[in-house]
Amino acid sequence: MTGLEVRIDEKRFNGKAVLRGLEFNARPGEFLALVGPSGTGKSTLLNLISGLDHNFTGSVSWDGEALYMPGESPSQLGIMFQEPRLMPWLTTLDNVRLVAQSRDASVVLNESQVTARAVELLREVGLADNLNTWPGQLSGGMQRRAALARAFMVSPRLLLLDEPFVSLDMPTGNRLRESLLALCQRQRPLVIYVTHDLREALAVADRVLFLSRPPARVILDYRVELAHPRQLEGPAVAQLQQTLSAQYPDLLSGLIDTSLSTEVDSP
Amino acid sequence: MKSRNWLLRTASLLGLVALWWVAALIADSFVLPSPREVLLSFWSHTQSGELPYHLSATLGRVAVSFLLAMSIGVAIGIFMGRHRRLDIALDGALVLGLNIPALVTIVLCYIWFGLTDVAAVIAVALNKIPTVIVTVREGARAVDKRLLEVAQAYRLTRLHTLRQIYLPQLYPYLMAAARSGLALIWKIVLVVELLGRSNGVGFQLHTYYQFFDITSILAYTLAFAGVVFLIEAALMRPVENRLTRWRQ
Repeated sequence: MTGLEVRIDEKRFNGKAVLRGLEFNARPGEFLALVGPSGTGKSTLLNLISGLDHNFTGSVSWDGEALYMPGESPSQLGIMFQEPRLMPWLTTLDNVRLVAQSRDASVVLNESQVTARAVELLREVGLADNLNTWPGQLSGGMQRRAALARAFMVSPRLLLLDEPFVSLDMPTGNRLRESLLALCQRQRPLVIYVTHDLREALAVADRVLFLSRPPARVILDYRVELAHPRQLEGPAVAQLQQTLSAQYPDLLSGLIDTSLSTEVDSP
Repeated sequence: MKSRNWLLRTASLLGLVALWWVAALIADSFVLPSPREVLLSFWSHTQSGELPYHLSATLGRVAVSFLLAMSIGVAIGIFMGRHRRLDIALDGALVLGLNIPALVTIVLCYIWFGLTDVAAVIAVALNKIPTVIVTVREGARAVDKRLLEVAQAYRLTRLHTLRQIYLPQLYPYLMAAARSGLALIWKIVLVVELLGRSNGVGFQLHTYYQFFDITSILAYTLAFAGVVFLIEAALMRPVENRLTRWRQ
């Protein structure tokens, strides 16, 4: 099958099970949000999918191929960590250009094509005037814009975002989400967007996966039918959030037992 | 701002020379010649070609042993910083290497490898390598793993990871190792020359010592100090400024 197939039997961290029996599939081009209480191992899960951590039982496969060689990440992976993680000694432009130097022959462009593409992406996220600025001189929001441009530099087929716009003020966060959605519209990667904010998930995703408390698994797989563009603070999102909260009152505390699961492993 | 820094540096150096001059006037003895006499002696040694000859012999040894000590020390330092088991295995040898007196390595190298330039350079490098290792190991331990994860996720080649993500984090440590390294190597090269070579500044100092020719000793020291300042101003500081410009 094409797309992503995640079957985590168990992932332990310092002897404690963080994820157990966590399974889901996703098709190319789908936009998934992963929601769950903090400390549920959402970042851990992204590390397993990105191949940064392969110390678990189970499998992650991408286009039918089991991931990955130890220490290898899938090709054309775009990633945004919780922190921007830019190289402080490279200019904004060079930070974006950097990831074009990957091992994958398919992404290799010549020098001027790389620069042109990086400039184009930076313009798109609103950093056209900061190409030669050091990351240390950029604001937090601007650093995240640069990290977003970097993620799209590799023409991602899989895009992993770990609370990418957390702790930004509302207008900045909204602008960045718009940039993200516009870029996704065009390139159609499979997106996994981790957040602890249900409203944010409902505003961006096609599907929302709710995780339980640790050891975490998927307790609800919810398809969002709202039309785009959606407003994070708009009435449609608020109403959907209310409906969900009424229907599954314990959802976000991770205590719910839905028909999807057969055992309750909350204390 | 920059020109004022320069002014301050020059003023402090001139102050030092003035102090020397006053001391020489008061002492009025052949054991403390005045700056003027030293400068004249420096000039005559330079014109005779003797000082440039010995100075270049010393510079050659310094350059070779510096490069040798830096490349070996950096390689071992990175490995020890990255691999815990290797670090533990080599730590004892490192402590020993740090504490063995320079004189012991020098004498042993001359006995084992003969009174040659190879032995001299090895002896100097052996004295320097442990301190390079300690500094670079510190840097390798401090490398930010989160930035290396970026390299891994984006599948950067090993070469690019090394050049654009790993080494930039080591640069401050490499600069520190180079600076302190050069300072130590100057000193040891002179001892090595004094003990077993027939040219170089160390050899000359030994000769003038036997004649109690303090003016010539200070003239050579002056040449030496000049070279050190030149290297600092023309090489070390520009390189450092370039590598750390993103911090300003």
